[in-house]
Amino acid sequence: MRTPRALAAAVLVGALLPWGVGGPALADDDTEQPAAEPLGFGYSATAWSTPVHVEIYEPSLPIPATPQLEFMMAYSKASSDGGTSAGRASWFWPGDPVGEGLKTFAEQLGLPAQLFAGGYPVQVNATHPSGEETAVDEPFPGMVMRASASQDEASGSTGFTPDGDVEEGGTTTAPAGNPLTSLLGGLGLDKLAGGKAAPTAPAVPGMPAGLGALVDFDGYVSTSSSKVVDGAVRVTSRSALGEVRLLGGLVRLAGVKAVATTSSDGGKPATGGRSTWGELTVLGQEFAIGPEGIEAVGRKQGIPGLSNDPGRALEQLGITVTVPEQVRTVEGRKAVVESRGLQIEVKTDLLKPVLSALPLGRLAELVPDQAGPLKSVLAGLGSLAPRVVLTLGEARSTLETVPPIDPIDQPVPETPADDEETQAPTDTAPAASDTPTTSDAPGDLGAPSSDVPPGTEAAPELPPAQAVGAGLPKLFSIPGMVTLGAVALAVGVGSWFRRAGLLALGAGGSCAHGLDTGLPDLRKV
Amino acid sequence: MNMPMLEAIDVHAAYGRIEVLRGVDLTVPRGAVLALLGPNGAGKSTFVKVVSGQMAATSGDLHLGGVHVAGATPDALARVGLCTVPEGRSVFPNLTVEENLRLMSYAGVPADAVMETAFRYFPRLLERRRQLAGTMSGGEQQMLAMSRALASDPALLLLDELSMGLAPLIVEELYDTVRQIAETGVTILCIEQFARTALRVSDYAAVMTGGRIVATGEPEEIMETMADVILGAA
Repeated sequence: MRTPRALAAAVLVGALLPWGVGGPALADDDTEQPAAEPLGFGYSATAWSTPVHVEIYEPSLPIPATPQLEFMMAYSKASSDGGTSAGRASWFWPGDPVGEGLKTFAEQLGLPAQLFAGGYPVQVNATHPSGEETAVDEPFPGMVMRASASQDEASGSTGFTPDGDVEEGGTTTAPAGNPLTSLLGGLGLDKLAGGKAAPTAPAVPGMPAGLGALVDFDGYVSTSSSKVVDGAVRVTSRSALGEVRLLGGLVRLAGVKAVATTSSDGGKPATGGRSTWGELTVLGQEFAIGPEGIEAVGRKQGIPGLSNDPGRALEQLGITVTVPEQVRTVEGRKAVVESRGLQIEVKTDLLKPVLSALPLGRLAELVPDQAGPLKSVLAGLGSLAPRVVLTLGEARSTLETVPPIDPIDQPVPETPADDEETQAPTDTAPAASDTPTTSDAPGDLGAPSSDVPPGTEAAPELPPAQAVGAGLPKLFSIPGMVTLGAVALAVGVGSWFRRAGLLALGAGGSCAHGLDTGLPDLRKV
Repeated sequence: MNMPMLEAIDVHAAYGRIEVLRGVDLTVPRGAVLALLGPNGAGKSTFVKVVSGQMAATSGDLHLGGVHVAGATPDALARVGLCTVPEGRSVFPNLTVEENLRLMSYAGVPADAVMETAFRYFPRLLERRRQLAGTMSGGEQQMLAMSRALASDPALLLLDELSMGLAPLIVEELYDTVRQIAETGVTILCIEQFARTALRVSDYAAVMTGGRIVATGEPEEIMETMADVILGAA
């Protein structure tokens, strides 16, 4: 009896499975999202991540930045402050100094400015409300750059994967044509395989449909987002390098992964995230090799037999491998999370003989004289010994909130009787609607108030601080000040004229002998 | 233009209805020692009181350093450099010499500087520093009074009857000190009954009688022409 029932259930599940998968997506497309409730606080959020970050420190390079050179493979950034939001994605980002100011760099190096007039080309940007809210560029299959920005959300995602799936949580190999995912969803195993429920990412053109079912790998991905959900702001950045999926995601092997999360509902911000390397996930159970050793089923233990000797050997080659600690900083209403997977520092002193052997001088001669700075840089490369810092898996998120400004509770001074009289036409305006509503006479200023609906008075709704502090000071004080100033000026001028007259008559001072009156310092006479 | 340190023009002053000064005209050049001589009751001390602000003139003008001064209080004049050694010394008899001098430090001059000045001009006070001022001789009290005046760094020093009640040898010694003080640039007006000693150290001299200046000139000239006026010349 059990076998026929099981077969019937399987058939039923198989028949309904496509509807179950596709239904929510259609509903999402057709249903209008309710308007988001405005936040009761202000915030500023920034998140960026990259799986590969290379920094080159060489002070002799004529670049006014530290590090002097850097580039990131798969760089995504999201920033939002409530009023504006922006997302950026670039699968190769040369750092902000070059990426933002490429045109200036080209001019300084003597290169043709026309080539760089459009700025750094390998990037997509989305901004709200002043620009495109969605920007996508997929230059070739598997290489994805996506950015979006809206009132409550900003995101950027980029990377290189065979299925074009770079979003957090793995999006959707199902629309990409992976038949196993649908089957796993029907059996309830889809969450174990990565919870791919949101059918948003399109398929990668040119990708064989059946290949992702067996082997799917993300070369490197990076996502950053800032979202307002349920009255709270959540800022997340994630970077992963070398993620491999087998059998539709049942077995996942991630090389290096870094996640940084900050969130706040207006109070003290919360931080989260971690960095792992060597992560293995089977049926949703995570096995990780991280800085604290092996982590399996929630337990951690050291790696037996591993000593510092390999590290010492690498140091002799000028290579230092470190596992940076995750930084979580919460100061008041500001939270910063920095997650970095592995950091490899290479000192290239050992490469100096190799660099000096290169014919850099001859190469420099080939550069035209107009590009003088570039020529000098090439000629000086032989003497460089830069320090290179390679960070695998880097994610940072920053969130700062500010409380709402309470209106100043200041009592409104009592209105004088004269003011009440002047306001009388406003109160009686609806009754006096027979009079013309517009008039050039100053005395008819109350007439336009008839347009104000009954019960809505503009003045009482003003904040008390504005009602008291706005405008010029009261007029009666100005003539008084002018009068006092005029009297003082007249006294001064009169005194001066008196002395001038006495001088003209030969008796210039207050003394009859023409001397000033006072008390001299006899020691200085 | 070399302004005189003190210039009195037709100064009148009275005690009630009794007019004592009847139009005094006197000029004291800067840095000079002028001896104002005259018999008892001529109005010399009254003139000092008017100049030092202790008494108001009924009319006339007083110029100090080329500035018309009217209604200035004694303490204000003392602060600008006019200092008076009054007739009768006016030391604190129940305080020691050192305590009398230390009181002058309240005028702003450090006590050590007051002591140093006093003991430099009058070494005898150093020997008496622990002695009550009232138990000292008249000459020593006069030295103490002059020391207090010097402590305020005066520019114009008024000495009223310096020799009163003192032995001639002490008077000689005091006027030697006056000469030393004058050499430092201090303008000095000496009011004196006994003219000979004062004229010895003076640059100029004036004779007052009946509330008026009746003669001015060099000391020798005054001695020759006014000997009959200066009674009791010492």
